[in-house]
Formats: sequence, structure tokens, C-alpha cells
Amino acid sequence: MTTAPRTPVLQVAGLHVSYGGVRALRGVDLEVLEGETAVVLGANGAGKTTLLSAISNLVRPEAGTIRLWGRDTRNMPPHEVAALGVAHVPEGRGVFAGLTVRENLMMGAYRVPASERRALEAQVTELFPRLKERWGWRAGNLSGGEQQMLAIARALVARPRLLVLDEPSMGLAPLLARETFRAIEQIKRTGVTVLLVEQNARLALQVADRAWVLAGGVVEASGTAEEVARLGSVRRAYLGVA
Amino acid sequence: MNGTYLLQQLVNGLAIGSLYALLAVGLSMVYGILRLINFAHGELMMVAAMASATFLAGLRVWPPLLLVGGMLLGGVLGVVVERVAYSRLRQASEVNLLVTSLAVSTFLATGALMLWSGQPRRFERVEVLSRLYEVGGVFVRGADIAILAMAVVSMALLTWLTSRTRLGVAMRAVAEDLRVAYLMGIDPSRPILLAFFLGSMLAGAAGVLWGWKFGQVAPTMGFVPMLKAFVAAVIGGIGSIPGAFLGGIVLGLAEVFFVGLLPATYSGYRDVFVFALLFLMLLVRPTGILGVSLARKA
Repeated sequence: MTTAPRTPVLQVAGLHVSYGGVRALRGVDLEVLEGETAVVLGANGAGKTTLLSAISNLVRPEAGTIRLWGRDTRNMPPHEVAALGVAHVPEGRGVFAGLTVRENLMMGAYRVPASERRALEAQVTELFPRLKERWGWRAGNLSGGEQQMLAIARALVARPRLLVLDEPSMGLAPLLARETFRAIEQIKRTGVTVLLVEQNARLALQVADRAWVLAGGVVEASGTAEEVARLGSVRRAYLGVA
Repeated sequence: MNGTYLLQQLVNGLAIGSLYALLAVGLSMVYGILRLINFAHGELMMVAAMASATFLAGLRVWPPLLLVGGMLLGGVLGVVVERVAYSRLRQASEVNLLVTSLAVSTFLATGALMLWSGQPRRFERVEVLSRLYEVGGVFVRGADIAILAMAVVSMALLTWLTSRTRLGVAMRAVAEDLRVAYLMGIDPSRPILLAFFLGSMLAGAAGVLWGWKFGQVAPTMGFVPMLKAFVAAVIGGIGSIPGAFLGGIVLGLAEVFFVGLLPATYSGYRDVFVFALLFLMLLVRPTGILGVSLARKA
């Protein structure tokens, strides 16, 4: 643990979001510091995906502020939020099924100068050698695990300063889920700030520095990953401990 | 009926088919990105043709320059239509877009009628293009070779663009999933404008080439070719650029052979046949020759 004060990457304050009368988020506060891995735990419908969509400006909050690197993102179109350095891997991975692996990565590096793209592609194919083998395949023909690798690789070639992952373990066999988290661990070591949303608390708390528990659109608990892992409610609800 | 006759019909089919193909490629490109059947596409061709006949041809412009002028006019007009009419409907349903494109089409056609009257206008021919070339008893007009070449080149270039360049691939990405495209930092208005510019440019090219082929143009010339191009795009697999090209050629050949091989009394049913072909295609293979299933568009 460093003692130097770290700058906040993401600051969410008093965030309220509604969809057609349903109040998905009801006053959420959250702060992620540079270089740390933060996890938001919560069941289905707790508002996790809504939170991430609001950060990327895909949905418009009713109230509250979101700051990225100190900048209020209120009036930015979503592509400008991405341009600040946010790479968001959406729920269900969001690979372009009709595009090949190569083309998906090309889109990931959309804002990276062409001269640097090749080196970045080489880096991610080293992390996920499987993608090299599937280079010319349409993403829609990849297995779930391969699609997850592609989704993460596509986010990495954007050279993000903040990597946002929406349930990376969803729909994956336990072995693949563990592999995905090993990759996240590696990414974390390169110094990228990571914000992760998960239902699989056991895996998520292993890589996280800090954790928030979201339930019914409000933050129920928060603290360091160790503190949150010790909470009785978390042990019962997410870790399968009676 | 002999070999030469059949070969001549084949050439005639290719000639008309490549004009459909040229229009269908542009139409399919715009459809590919916005899921919009741009009914104004044929009117863009008409405006480019009429404007060239009126303003440019009298000046005895060097023909390649006239073609480029028509293409630029078509492209710019397409972008203006996108900005003024379609861009405001980004969140609206596909039906709203479709109806709007019908309105734009009517607006352009009626505007042209008011401006130029319904009289066909003479389109200054170019000697090399209006000449008939004979190869082994089969006749080919210069303009038809030019149209086929234009269709092939534009199909090849656009196929390359949409699979190899950043902005071209972004067109397909935006079409498939706008939200995810945003997350990649893609500003969707750029690939959309490029698609409109390029697609409409081909309509402009078709307008000038049409003038050279037939020697006259009229404000009413846009609608029927647009419908044929639409049928061609559907036959080929709408959204696919090589498919649109292929669909245009297939449609042209089918049309010519229908007229050429059946007794002359049926030749009036040419357009009926075209749309019967469309019905048949939609029944047998709704995704078209080269089309991919639309189911993947979640």
C-alpha cells in the first residue's frame, strides 16, 4: 500500500436513475482511486448495470453527478466519455457478432493512432493467444469464453485509464470464469484502474481492493475487500456461507 | 434463335443490370448502416442527371469532369438530406425513417418538376460512349461498358472500405450495435455521413451515366430505377455490398431474358416479372443470395 495520496478517477455522488417509472438507482455514492480495483456486488436488479451505463452516459441520470478525473461528464455524448480513457465492457460482452476478431479489435482501438495499433494487438494476443488463432473468425462464431476474451482484449487495445467490466463471469463455466479473473488480475498489475460489477463475489473479492454492495438501488455496505468479505450479509448472500 | 442472339441478350442484360447494380450498391450501403430503405436514392440520381444536363453539359465540360461533378453533387445532396431529415430521427423507429425517405423522395421529384418541368431534356452525348462496338456479331455500347466498369469498381472499393478501414468497419459496428459502438468511442455521425456521401455519390454517377446511355433525362426518371435497385438489393441480400451488385446483374439478366425469350405479347409484363421475382425470392430465400440472417441483429 502506498502512502502517497492517490487521485480519484471516478466520483459518483447522489446518483438517481429511473427507467420509465422504475427507480433503478436511488442516491448512490462511490469513489474509485487511481490504480485500484473496485468491485460493486449485487444481485440481479440491484442496479449494477444501470450504474455502469450512467458512468458511460448511455443513460441520463435524474439527479447526482459523475466525475471522471475531476471532470463533470453531465453533458458529454457517450463517445466522448470513452475518449477520456474509459473502456466499458458491457453486460453480455457486446462483441460485434458480424465483425471478425480483427475487426472487433480495430473498433476497440478506434481512437488509438494507427501507428500504435499493431503493438497493442500484439500485446493482447499475448495475453489471449486464442484470439490469434481465431483472427479471421466472426465474433458470433466464437465460444462464450472466447467472446469474453475478445471483449476484454477489445477494451485493452483502447489503452484505457479506467477499465469498466460488467459481470465478466456471467454465463461462463467455473474454469473459464477463473481464467477471466486471472486475466483481470494481470491487467490490474499493469496499473490500470478497474471498476468491476459482479455477482460472483468469491472471485471478485479476490482481485478487488475495495468493494461496494448494491441492493435495491442503494449502497448497502462498502469498505476494503477484506472488510466486505467478512460482512455477515455478504457471506450469507454471496459467498454461500451460512 | 441462335448463339449470337443469346449472347446479345446477355450483353443487354449486363448493360441494364449494371445500372441497377450501381444504384443498388449505394442503396444497400445506406441500408446497411441505418436499416433505412432510402427511397430518395433514385431522386438523387435524377437531380444529378438533370443538373448536369442543365448547368454543366452546355459548357462542354470534359466528360470525366462532368462525371465527377455529378458524383459530388449526388454525394453532397445525400449528406444534406441525411442532416436535414434523417439525423433527427435517430431514436425513431425504422418505419418513421422509411416514411420520411418517401417524403424526401416526393419533395425532390416534385421540386424538380416545378423547376425543370416534366419535359425530358437532351443530355449531351459523348462520342466514345454512344458508339456501338461490335465483337463477333454482338453489339456493345460504350456507355454500357463504362457503367459496368463503374459498378464493378465501386463494389470492389466499398467492399474493401467496409472491411479494411477504420471508418468503414465502424459503419458496420454502428449498424450492428449503436450502444457498444459508443463505448468504443465511435461518434456515429461520422460513419453515417460517410455512408450517405459514398452511397449518394454512386447515385450521382448513375445519373450522369444514364444521361450518356440514353441521351435524355427527365425529372420523372428516378422512381422506377430506385424500385428496381431495391429489388436488386433484396435479391442479392440487402446490406451486403457484393450482394447488391450481384442482385443488380441477376435482375438485369432476368428482365432482358424474360422479354427476349418470350413472345412479344408478354414484353409489357416486364415490371410485373421483376416484382414476381422479388416475391419469389422473399418466399424462398428471404435473406437474399449473399445475405446473412438478420437474427444476429439483436
